[in-house]
Amino acid sequence: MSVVPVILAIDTSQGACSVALGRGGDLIGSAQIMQNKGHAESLLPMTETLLANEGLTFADIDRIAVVIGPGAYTGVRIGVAAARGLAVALKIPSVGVTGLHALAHACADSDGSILATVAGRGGTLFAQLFAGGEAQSEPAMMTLEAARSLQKKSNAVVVGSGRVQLGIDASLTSEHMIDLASVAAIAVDLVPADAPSEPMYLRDADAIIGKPVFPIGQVGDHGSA
Amino acid sequence: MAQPSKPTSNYTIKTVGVAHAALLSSLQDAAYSPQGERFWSKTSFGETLLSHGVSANVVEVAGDPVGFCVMRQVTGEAEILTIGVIPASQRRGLGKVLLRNCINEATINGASTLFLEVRADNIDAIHTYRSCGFTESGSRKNYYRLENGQLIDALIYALDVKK
Repeated sequence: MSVVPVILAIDTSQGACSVALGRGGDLIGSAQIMQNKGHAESLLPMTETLLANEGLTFADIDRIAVVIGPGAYTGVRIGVAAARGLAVALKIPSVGVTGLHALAHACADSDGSILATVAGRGGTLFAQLFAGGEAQSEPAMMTLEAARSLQKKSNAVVVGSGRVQLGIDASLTSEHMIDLASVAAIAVDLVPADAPSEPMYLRDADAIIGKPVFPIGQVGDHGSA
Repeated sequence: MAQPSKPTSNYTIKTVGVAHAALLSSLQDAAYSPQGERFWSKTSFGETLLSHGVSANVVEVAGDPVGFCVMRQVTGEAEILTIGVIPASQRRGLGKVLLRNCINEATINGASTLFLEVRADNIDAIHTYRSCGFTESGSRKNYYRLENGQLIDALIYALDVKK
């Protein structure tokens, strides 16, 4: 008997706090709050409600899938921290899925190339080229001009929140948001060691890394070199 | 009457503004009128949404708005001004979803107490508030006047929402 794993999928990488429960890639419940702050406070109560509605508990979750970026720093860290904390507490694997991969997965059946995009700051966006759900380029931060030329060269259909920056849409529509069904479906087949739930920022922090206040690693041998 | 059914666990909560006054009014009409309760006009919602400290959310299921909540926060006191779910979507846990979101927002925004008023005869709503931890803290005699002129007491419920 093969048992379909229960997957908890989490996405806080962009403007919404989204959680979903899947049996494999089929969602049995999803909850989304569209707000720019409060993700850390919303995430676990939303998950508890979802589980309760399905008559499940945290102990029934077999695997956690989290969107590791690109997107908002704080958002990505909230999702990843929650996923890893739950995974440790529940003794289950957590895997990381990029938002770009999830966007491309949702249109894996379409012919031709897909340029998956996530909006960035200051005239940039994050983009990656796919065909048939398979990556054709590395994910990268790029200027709008670079994204346009990549799109032209590959004659790709643009999906994701970068469409607004590229002037294709006036505002973000729901079909260009990351679908947690795709995240769960991708996560089913991932090997945790190959897809760790670690943030993928694709850009350096705006903040400058300061000198450590405390002399880490100088006493004993605990610090990393 | 609606039968208790399986909770809906496919929802989206969205923050809305004065541009959605008409939507809020129609949702409130659908939710309140069957109980003989008066609803606010689009203008009333518009004025409320423009006043200090007021925020509003709607809950959507499959892209359709089915519930709403408007709250106000002034310094440490937050208050739910109006909350409801349309009859076709009731008894699926969506009121609780909206309520929990309100509690969360009040906490994030630094409120210490969240208040609400409820019709003394609205047993279902009172049950939901109690299940979220609200306790009765007072009453207002003959506070609600229904469409048919009948007067009903309001009960005041409060919840500590300090971080």
